[in-house]
Amino acid sequence: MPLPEQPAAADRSVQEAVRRRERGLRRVSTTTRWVTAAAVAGTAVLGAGYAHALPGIALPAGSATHGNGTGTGTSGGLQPAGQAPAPTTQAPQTQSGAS
Amino acid sequence: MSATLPARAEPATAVFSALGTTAVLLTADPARADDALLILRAELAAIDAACSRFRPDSELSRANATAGTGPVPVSALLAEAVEAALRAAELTDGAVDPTVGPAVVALGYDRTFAQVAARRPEDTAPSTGPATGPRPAAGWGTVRWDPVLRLLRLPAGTTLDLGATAKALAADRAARRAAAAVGCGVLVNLGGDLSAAGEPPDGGWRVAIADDHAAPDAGPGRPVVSIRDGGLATSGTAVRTWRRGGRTLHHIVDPVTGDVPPPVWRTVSVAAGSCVDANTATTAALVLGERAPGWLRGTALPARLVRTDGSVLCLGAWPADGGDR
Repeated sequence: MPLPEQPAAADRSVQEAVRRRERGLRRVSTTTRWVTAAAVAGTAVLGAGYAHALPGIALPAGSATHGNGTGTGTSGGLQPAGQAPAPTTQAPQTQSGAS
Repeated sequence: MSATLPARAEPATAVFSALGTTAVLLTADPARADDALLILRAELAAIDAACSRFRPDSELSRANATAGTGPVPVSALLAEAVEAALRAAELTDGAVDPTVGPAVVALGYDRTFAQVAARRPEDTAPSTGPATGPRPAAGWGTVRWDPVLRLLRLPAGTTLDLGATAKALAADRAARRAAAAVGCGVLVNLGGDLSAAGEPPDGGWRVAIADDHAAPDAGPGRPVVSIRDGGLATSGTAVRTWRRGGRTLHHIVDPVTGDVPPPVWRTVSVAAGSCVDANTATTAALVLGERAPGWLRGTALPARLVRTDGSVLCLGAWPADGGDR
């Protein structure tokens, strides 16, 4: 017949069990925080991506991308002509002035 | 022994009224002029139907009527015009702003200019109410624009006026399309805003610079330049004017004040890669006033500015008046 454990040994066993339980709880808590953070970040990324496709949600003009398909040049400033105007003594073919 | 080369024919010229101004089409190969003219007329009709603020049935007027409500989908052409206007605002830091519509109307330019000019001054005198004074623009940043879905939303009380860029855009589009279709050089001139595309005639396109695009030949004193491609625009404060409240007003409005800018420049001409860019620069220069030379130098675009006293300032690669005489 086994002898009953000594009280000191029983206490150590209980304390060890408590430490294991607390380590497990900490791991669960840490994992939960990471999952929560990842979910929030993922929601923000996907939300920003798909906001575009929802009617009624559009970017302010200042943050919109201009020049795509406008045929009037792209970003980077006003574009110069291939050649600057040159003086000529010949008669004009047309006239530029205010209207 | 020397061979005599056959003289090349001068470009064919067509002149007609459109968009409330004068349209001129030059076609380097006269045999292709009729086809080029058809393309230009179609382009002008499309721009007018999309961008006119004087036609209640235009797409722009219908979009303006939705201000303060939900977004409205727009056609590819109006989208291109909106993009050009917003880009102009961005590149000029708001000096050229499409939300000046209410400001222009508040100054009395609330119908076609022919009707404004025909109106008696007393009919345009401002009342004492605060709503008829200068009205600063809401600012282009308040416009919500989705370039992918082509959805436009305007805040309440705001309307777009694409006058600073739509005519130039029409010139660019028409010149490019016509030149590609007829296979020769084409120059489109809409009220003094020019766009050239394709192979130009020998020596380039010869353009006289004047205060008024419709002024008769002013003689040998006016400068003449040649261009080969891109755009050339001239804006001024001496044309398209009207009287109101004892003041002479014009169509160039400072978005910040909602009023005409202080008179510094009578005329500004700029050459650029497109007519839209050229016209953006000329309009901005008139609004910026004394700050215009510094800003124009930053763009590196050739420019010619005429002060209200008639003195001329040439910037960048713009040739001095009489430089090749």
